[in-house]
Amino acid sequence: MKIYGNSESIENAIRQILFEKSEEGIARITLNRPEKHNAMTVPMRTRLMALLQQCDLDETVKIIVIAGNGKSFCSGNEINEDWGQRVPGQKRMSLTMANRYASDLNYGRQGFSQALTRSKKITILALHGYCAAAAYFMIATRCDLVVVNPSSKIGALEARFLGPAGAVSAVHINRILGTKAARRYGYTGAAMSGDDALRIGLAHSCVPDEEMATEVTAIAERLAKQPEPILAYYKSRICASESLFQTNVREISGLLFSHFLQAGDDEAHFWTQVKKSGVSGALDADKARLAAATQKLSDA
Amino acid sequence: MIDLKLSGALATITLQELEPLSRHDIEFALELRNVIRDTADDDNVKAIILRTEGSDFCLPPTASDLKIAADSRIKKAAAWHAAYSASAGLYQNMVYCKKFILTVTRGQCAGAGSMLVLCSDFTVSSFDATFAAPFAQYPESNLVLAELTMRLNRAKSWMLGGSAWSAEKALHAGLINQAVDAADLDACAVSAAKAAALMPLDGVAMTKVLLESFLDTQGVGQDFDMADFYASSMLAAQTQSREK
Repeated sequence: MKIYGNSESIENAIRQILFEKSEEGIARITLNRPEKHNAMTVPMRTRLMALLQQCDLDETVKIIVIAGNGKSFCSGNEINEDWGQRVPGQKRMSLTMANRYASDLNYGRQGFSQALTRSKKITILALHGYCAAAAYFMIATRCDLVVVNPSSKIGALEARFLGPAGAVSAVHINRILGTKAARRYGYTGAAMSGDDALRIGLAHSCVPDEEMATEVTAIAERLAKQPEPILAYYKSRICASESLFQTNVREISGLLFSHFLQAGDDEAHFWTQVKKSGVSGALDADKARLAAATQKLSDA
Repeated sequence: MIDLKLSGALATITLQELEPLSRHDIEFALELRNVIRDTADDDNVKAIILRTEGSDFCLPPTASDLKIAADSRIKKAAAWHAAYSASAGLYQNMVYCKKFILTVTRGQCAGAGSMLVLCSDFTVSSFDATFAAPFAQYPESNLVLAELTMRLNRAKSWMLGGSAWSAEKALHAGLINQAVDAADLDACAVSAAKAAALMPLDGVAMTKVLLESFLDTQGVGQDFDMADFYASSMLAAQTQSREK
């Protein structure tokens, strides 16, 4: 199969997603791109999906722990990546690339979030720092048990500058948070703290950062002591119930189209700004836009 | 022994113990099913209180209980299905009967007791109660109902967490509706049942019917339908575990 990405991101993926397996049958998948808050490139997503499928086939793997190195678990997908998605001279993605991005990589039944949801192994997420955008609605809300720390910042934070609150349409999130809370975090792009995540039902437990590794290991080791067929039974019950509960449906996300929507007259167009001044510059421009919009609202 | 007392619009079903349900005692399950169905069919009754005597609602099953239960499922598969998971069985009769059902929990609540809590409309508990997830041991347990009751991740956390929840945690999660001091438990249960019984008779019945369609659109009925499949999977998993 064709590997998507650019030469640099393809080469780096193996170092940016680390994999190890303990004798107890605990597989650890660690996002390792700390200089970018573990933003996931296209090849990183492909590798994550391949590792999950590898774990499914490995009878010695009982539990999968997913974590991130550095200050944050993950800030979402790398949005400033050129992975050959556009034909030179054309503004829009080709149909194949758009489908590859939206359906195969992200939102569709073949996407990496579905590989997590449908994994045959119980998954535990160790979440610290930022968990935003795709990391929120494609990883955090897909893992079976989520351990957070109080200073975690979780949510569709990108909704404040990217446009549509795609996470609002994610059935999983509505099932986990309840629809009012899903809408609140979707529309406002507000960050959910670890305490919020525990209170609202996303998290299994909330522990201080220094206790997180111990907590996650204890949960994983306790579960891993159970016979593999029993764990497989648990997971098959979860998968069946999530299908009956309709949480396994593909994302009905309009996020892809946000790339092409028209911005308001007084709104900074995020993608134009990204092209001019990179992501940081676009975020700075958005702060100015947000301040102006806030003033306008207070004057109204 | 199942004791039924009628008082106006309230019916109180008191059981000496619930543990036979966790042992898959089919006769016991059918007897309880019949009492609930007949009581629900009584036009004078609007609300049914389901409680047990003693200090625990339903003790966790012992290894011996689980072996007896597994034997019952294997040797009397059709009867087990009819009593526990079929649309005419005990649990679906609770969920889909036409009257309000309230469970009263104290002490330990595990096994079939946890299923009764999930299948009832309202649960009043004493603060000393604990709630253990039934999914690992009982294929007829309805995970979708738990997910709908508490939201998705809380149900998964209950299933995989490995320990029984306190009443406080169960209240926060939405598994139970009210937690009170043990001394006030029965009075509070009656008070809550009376509040529901203020609704007109046809209002109670119609509410349950409307609830039934909602639950079925959410996959609750379908999860009950899968119980035989889950039982086979559980048996295979247990057999494989022993062989390994």
